[in-house]
Amino acid sequence: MPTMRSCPLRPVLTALSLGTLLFAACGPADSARRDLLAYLADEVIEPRQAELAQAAVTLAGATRSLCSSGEPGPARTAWLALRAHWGVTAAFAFGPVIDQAQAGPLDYWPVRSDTIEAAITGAPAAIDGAYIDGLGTSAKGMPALEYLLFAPPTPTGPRCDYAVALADDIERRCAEIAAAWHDEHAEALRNAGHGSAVYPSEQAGLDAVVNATIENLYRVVKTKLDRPLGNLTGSDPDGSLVESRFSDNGHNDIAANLDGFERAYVHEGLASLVAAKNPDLDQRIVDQLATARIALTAVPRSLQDAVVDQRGAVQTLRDEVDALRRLIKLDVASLLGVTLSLSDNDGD
Amino acid sequence: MHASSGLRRALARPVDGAALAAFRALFGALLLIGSVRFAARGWIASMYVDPGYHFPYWGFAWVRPWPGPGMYLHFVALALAALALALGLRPRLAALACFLLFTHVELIDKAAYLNHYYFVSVVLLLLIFVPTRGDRPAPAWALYALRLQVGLVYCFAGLAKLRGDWLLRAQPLKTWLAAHADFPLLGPLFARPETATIMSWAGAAFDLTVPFLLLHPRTRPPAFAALLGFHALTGMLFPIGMFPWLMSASALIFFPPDWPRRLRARLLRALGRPVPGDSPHVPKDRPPVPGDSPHVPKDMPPLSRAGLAALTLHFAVQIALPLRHHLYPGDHAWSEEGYRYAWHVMLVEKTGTVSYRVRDPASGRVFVVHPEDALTAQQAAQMAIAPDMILDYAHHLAAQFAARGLPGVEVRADAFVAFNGRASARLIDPAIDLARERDGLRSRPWILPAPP
Repeated sequence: MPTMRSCPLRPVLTALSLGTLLFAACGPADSARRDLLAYLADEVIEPRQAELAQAAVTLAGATRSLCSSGEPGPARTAWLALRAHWGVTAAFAFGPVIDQAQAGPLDYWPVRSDTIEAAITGAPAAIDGAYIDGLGTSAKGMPALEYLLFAPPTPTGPRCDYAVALADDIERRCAEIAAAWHDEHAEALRNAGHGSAVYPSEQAGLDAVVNATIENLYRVVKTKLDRPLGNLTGSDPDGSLVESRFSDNGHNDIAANLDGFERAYVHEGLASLVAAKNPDLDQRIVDQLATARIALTAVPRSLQDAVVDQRGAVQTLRDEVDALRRLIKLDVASLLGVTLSLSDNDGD
Repeated sequence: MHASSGLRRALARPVDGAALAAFRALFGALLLIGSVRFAARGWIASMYVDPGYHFPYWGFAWVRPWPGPGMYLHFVALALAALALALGLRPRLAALACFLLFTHVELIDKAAYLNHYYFVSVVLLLLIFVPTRGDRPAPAWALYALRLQVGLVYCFAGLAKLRGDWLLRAQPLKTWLAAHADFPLLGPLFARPETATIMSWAGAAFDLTVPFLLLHPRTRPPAFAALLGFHALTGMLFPIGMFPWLMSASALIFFPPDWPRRLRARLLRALGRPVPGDSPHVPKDRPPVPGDSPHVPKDMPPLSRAGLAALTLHFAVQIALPLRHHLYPGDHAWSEEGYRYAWHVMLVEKTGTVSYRVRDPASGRVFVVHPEDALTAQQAAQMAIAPDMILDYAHHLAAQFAARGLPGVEVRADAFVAFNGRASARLIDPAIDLARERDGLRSRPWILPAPP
């Protein structure tokens, strides 16, 4: 029996090993994930964050105009436009929005009107950013501004000054998110695993993308639908728990969340990886997204009324979005080897 | 009786205790490093202090985390005991302390189960009884017991890989390797599906043969090199913590019992220093034999009957536990019945999600419970794929609702799992009221069959 020391095949084995390594090193690299991350960073996320920031600028201007003109229409329109952009970007709420802890100050729900009224009453004559910064999340952000713009009476005087300060705060925060994406994070995601300071591997970038899409759909299921449906408390449906209830925009919020998912998934997004590995799964996801949209269409536009009057239709919407969430959380995550929830514990 | 006597005498054959001492020292050092690493990563708090609920092991629900700073003090004690074990200070007592302290932590929460944590507990149990003083000879059974224990890990890990998913579908390696397509140098290879197939077969062959190859002097060097390469690669690819270090260090037990002495002598000679006990009449590379030196005496008292019985019982359990899944119907990798303590290492890719429907029969009210809100990410992820943990949490919910004034609620689970590349499917019969189902060792008929 030859030992390794005397094995005549050793040179051959060594050559084969080196050849394999050389082949591996020189072989064609699989660029699908890198292409996907670059596409999402450059074509989807950064432009959408820039649109969000621009919408926030428009809203701040329109809110100022409201105080001078007393006409709430443009500010309301600008708020609804911002909300649509925010709903889209919720599908890729990772990176700066998390690092800067912006989600709470921008979109805390349910809004607490008594907290807002107290903040207005206690505000100084000239409301500045420092005052808004010092407030809790329930007194600021988009929901608080929605309350001032849409709930009667139309804000005037100190109430309108407070609305302007909120709009300015929203503008600043959206600008910070957009700037971070523009200056650093898009590049970090694009170069995940290739010198990125944030994502040590392509997989880490992919993990962030997939987890954000899951979280977006989970929030629709649990916060936007389970809660007002009374599912979490075993109680009767409660329209006052629907998000964006002052503008009656809850239906559009969910539509925007699904739009955001679609932008992250279709074309050269996640679908490019999924379809290459499992075309059937890709088709199931496309079909399920369409089914969820049909279910949304079947719900009357006033979601806060619909949760009470058309509970079955809203529950169906909830179940269809949840089915879409499961496809991403289970089948896609499993297919792509995604680490869910970014737990750093060991495994074996 | 006569055969037993002969066996007990053979098992008491004296061997050099140096390898056992080195094993004990390395194991203690790794346990110390592991404990410090665990604390440094904040896992004491995130896994044992912060969670409001822990998943109990069947029969061990009484094992709870210490209140206040107790868990931190517990880990301090564990680190000190590990240090004592590494230094050989009252080694059996240190091993006993390590075993009790480490196993206590592991028994608190099923969500924290890892095969290599179980391995640590089992080895520490053996080290309570194994003599590991390097300056004294040791009975052969001590060496054989540790070799057998380490060998069983590889053999059962290899046997577990002899399944269609692993060998024919190359799952889960196909999924996992593709996720590392940007790995330096080897990344492009990992992206190729045939690599997963080759590595699956190679991995199974490695596990099934490496203990035997490590035993034979001629095959030991390449086998050990392969073992180091295998564990280094898996350690770089997967987040498996101390596992590669533990198994690499443990493999040294397959070397001749005097390997630390030989290594020391070789180092001293290389440095031009005198080697204690070096004799010009004895060839330098000849292994020591009984009677050569005080390290290897000619004879030792035979292993006691009680000792032989204890060893037999221990290894009967160690062999029975990994095989017990055959007593359960269906695919145990899906149902997880008989899955723990069986060395099913890195065998499946599973992702799950679960929510509960809690119904109060008195009022008819139905509550949807998303358990993620009350669990850590680690707990939620582990529970979602483990039917026994889904059952545990159902009982916990029933108790919670009872405490809120709603006794006798029905608890049903909507649990879905994606498994080794298959389409996701329901794991639990959604019609079953889990609050009425008892935990235990019997099969759980409410687990739905694995998807084809």
